[in-house]
Amino acid sequence: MMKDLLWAESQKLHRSKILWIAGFATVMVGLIVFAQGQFTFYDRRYIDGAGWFMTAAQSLATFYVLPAVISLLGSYMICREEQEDTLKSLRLIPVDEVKLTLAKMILAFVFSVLIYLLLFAITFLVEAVLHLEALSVGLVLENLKIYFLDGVGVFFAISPIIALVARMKKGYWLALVFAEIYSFAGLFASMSQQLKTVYPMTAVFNISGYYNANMFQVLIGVVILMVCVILSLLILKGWNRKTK
Amino acid sequence: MSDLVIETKKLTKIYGEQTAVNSVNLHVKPGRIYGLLGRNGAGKTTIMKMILGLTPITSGEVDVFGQNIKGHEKRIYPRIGAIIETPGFYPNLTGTENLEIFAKLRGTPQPNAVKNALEVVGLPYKDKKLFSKYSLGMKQRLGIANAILHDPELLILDEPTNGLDPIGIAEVRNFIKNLSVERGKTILISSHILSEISLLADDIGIIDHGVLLEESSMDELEKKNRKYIQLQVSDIPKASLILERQFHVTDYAVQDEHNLRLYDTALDMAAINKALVVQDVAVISSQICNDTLEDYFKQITGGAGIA
Amino acid sequence: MLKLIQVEFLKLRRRKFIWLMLLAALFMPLAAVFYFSSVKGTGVDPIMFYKWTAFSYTPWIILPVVLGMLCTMLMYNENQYDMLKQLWIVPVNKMAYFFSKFAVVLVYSICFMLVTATASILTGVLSGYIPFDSESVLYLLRKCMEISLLTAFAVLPVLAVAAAQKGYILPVCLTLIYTFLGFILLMVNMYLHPLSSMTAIVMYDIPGVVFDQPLNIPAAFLCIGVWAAASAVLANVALVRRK
Repeated sequence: MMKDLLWAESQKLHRSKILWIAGFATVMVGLIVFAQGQFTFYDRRYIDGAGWFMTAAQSLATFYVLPAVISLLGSYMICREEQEDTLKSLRLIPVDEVKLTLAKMILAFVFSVLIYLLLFAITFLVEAVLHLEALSVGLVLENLKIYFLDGVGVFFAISPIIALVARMKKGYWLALVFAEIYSFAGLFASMSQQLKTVYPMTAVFNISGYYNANMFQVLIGVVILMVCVILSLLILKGWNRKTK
Repeated sequence: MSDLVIETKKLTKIYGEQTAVNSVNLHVKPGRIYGLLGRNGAGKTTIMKMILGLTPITSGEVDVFGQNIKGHEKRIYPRIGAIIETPGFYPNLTGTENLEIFAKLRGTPQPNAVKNALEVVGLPYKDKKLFSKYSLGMKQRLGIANAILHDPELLILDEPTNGLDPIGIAEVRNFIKNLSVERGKTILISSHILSEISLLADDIGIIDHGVLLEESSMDELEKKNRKYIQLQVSDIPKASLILERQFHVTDYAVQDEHNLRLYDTALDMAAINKALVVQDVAVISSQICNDTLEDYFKQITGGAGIA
Repeated sequence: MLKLIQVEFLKLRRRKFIWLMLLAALFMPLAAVFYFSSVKGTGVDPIMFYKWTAFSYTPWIILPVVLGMLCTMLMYNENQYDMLKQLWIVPVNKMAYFFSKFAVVLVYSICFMLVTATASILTGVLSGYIPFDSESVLYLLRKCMEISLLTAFAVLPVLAVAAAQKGYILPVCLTLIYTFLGFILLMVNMYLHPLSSMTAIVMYDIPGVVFDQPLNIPAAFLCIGVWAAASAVLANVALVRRK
C-alpha cells in the first residue's frame, strides 16, 4: 500500500512546476551567495578562499531560504488534495489519510535532501572552476557530508510544521511564514551556546558538522530532532483519532 | 439484515442552526435506479455525502449493503463508485494519468480497467490533454469514468449530467440505464432536472428543504398521473349532458365553469366536438394532456415547481 | 480609484490569517529583549534598542517576506477563483486594479511598522532597558514610517509577478529569493536592489551605523523608482495579456 501511495505521489508531481521552482530557488541562492563572495575583506575576496563558498551557501540558505521552500513543497503536496477537490475521491477508495500524509512527507524528505545536494553540486562546481587546486578531497567530502546531513536534519526540524499543515488543511501560508521565522530565528539562537544546542535549526548544524560541536551537543541535537519527528507523528496521530 | 442496498433511518444533518436534511428514510432496492429529485440546495448532495460517510451525520443511521459504513470503509468502499458534486482531479495530469493513479490506489486488478472506463464515457485513452484544459462536460465524464473504474455494485451519482450538452446527457442516460439493466447495478442518482429522473429512474424520492416528501416507484407514480383530455367549452352543464347521453361518458371531472377533463383518452374527439358544436356548445379548445411529474412535484411541494 | 481601494479592503473581510501575520512584527522586539538580557544590563540607549527591534532584521527580512506573502495572497485569491475576467467586464482598469492592490500593501506595511514601533516601546520600557522619552519615540515613529513606505514600494516586483502568475508557488519562492538577495547585496552593492536601497535611505541618519560603501541617497531612490516602474510595466503587460 505504501509503495502505491509513494508511486501515486510522485506521479502527481508530473509536469508540476513546483520542482522547477524549487530548483530555481536553489540555483538563485547559489548565485546570490556567489555575489556576496565578491565582497573584499583585507584585500581578499571571500570567494577566493577555498571552501568559503561551500560553507557559506549552506548556512545562509538554511537560515533564510531553504526551510521555507521545503515546507512549501510539503504543504503544497498536502493542501492540493483539498484545493483540487481530490481528497473526497481518495477518501472513497478508501485511502488512509495518515498514510497518505506520511507518503507525502517521505517524498518531501527526499526533496529536502535532493535540494541540498543540488546546492552542494552548484557550490562545488563553482569552487572547482575557480580554484580546483586549492580543494582537498577531505574538504569536499566534509562539505558533502554537511550538505547531506543539513538536508536530512532540516526536514526533520520542519516536519512538525508540515504535519500541522496536514491537519489544518488550508494553512500553507501559515506554514510558510512560520517556517521562515523559525529558520531565521536560528540566527539569534546561534548567538547563545546553550540555545544553539537545543534550537532545532541550529542543532542541525551541530549534527552536520558545520558548527564545531562536541559529542554531547551532537547527541542533544539528535535527541531534539527525534523530538521534532515524534511531535509530527503525534500531530498526525492525534488527527487520525479526531477523524475516526 | 434487510435486502436493501441503501437504507437510511431518520437521517438528519444540521449545519449550525440550519437543518439541511431532516429525518430522511431512503430505501434503495438492489438492481434498481433510484432517482433523488429536488431543487438546488434541497439537501441531495448532503444526503449522498452522509451515505458515503464523507460528512458526519447529526442523527439517524445509514446502512449500505446492510452494514453501517463507519468502520467498514475498507470492505464497503470498493463496492461503491461515486461522484459527488463536480469531481476534482489533478490538473497537471492527463485524464488517463489521473485514472491510473486512482486505479493503482484502489488496487484494481484488471489491466484494462482505465481503458474500458474511458471508453464507456467516450473519452480518449492515452490522450495528451491535461485535466486543467478539460471542458466541464469532459470533467464530468472523467468523474463518471472514475466512479465505474473498479466495476462497483453500487453507483452513487450526484448530478452526473451537470454541465453536459443535450447529446452528452442522452449518452450518459443510456449508459446508466445499461449499467442497471444489463449488469444489474444499483444506482442512486440525484438531479434537479425532472425529465432526467422520469426517463431514468425506477424508484423516485422527492426531496424539498431537507424533507423527503414522497418515495415511490415510477410505476405507481404513473398510475397516479393519468392522461386525460382537457376540454374547454362555453357551457359546462349542457356539454356534460351531451357527453353522458350521446357518448355514455361517465369518467370525467368538471374543473370550473369552462373546463372539463375526460379521462378516457380513447374517445372519438372529432365526433364529440361535432356533437357539441351542433348543439350550440362552443368548443374553445380540446387537447390531450398528461398530468406530469412536474405537476405532481408542484402539488407535493406546495406549488413551488422545479427547475 | 478610491472605490476600488475600498473594495480591496472589503475583500479582506474574514481573512484572519492576514491579520495574524501582523504578529510577525513582534518577533524582533522579543528577540531584542532576549539579546539585551544576555548581553547587556539595563540603561541601553533607546536608539540602540530600537535599532535592534525596528531598524535591522525587521526591514531587511521580516517585513519584505510578510509583504511578499501578502502580495501573493491578494493576487492568488482572485486568480484561483477566476475572478479577474469578471472584473475586466465590470470594467476595471488594469492599472487601477494593480494599484488598488498596492494600496492595501502600503496600508498593511504601515500597520506592520506601527505594531513594531508599539511593541518596541512596550518591550523596551516594560523590561526596563530603556527610559521612555518623547524624542526617541518620535524618532522611532518617523523611521518606522519611512521604512513602511519605502518597503511597500520595494516589494512591487513581487506584486507584479504575483499578478502575472496563476499559482502562488513562484511568487512565494521569489519573495524569499528577492528578500535574501536584498539582504546579501547590502554588503556588496546597495544600489542594485530596492530593499538594500531602502536600507541605505533609512539608515543614513541612524547613529552608530557604519557603511562600507559611500552613501548615495539619490542613487537609492533612483533604484527603487526604476524597479517600481519596471514592475508596474510588467504587471500591466501581464494583466493585459492574461485577460
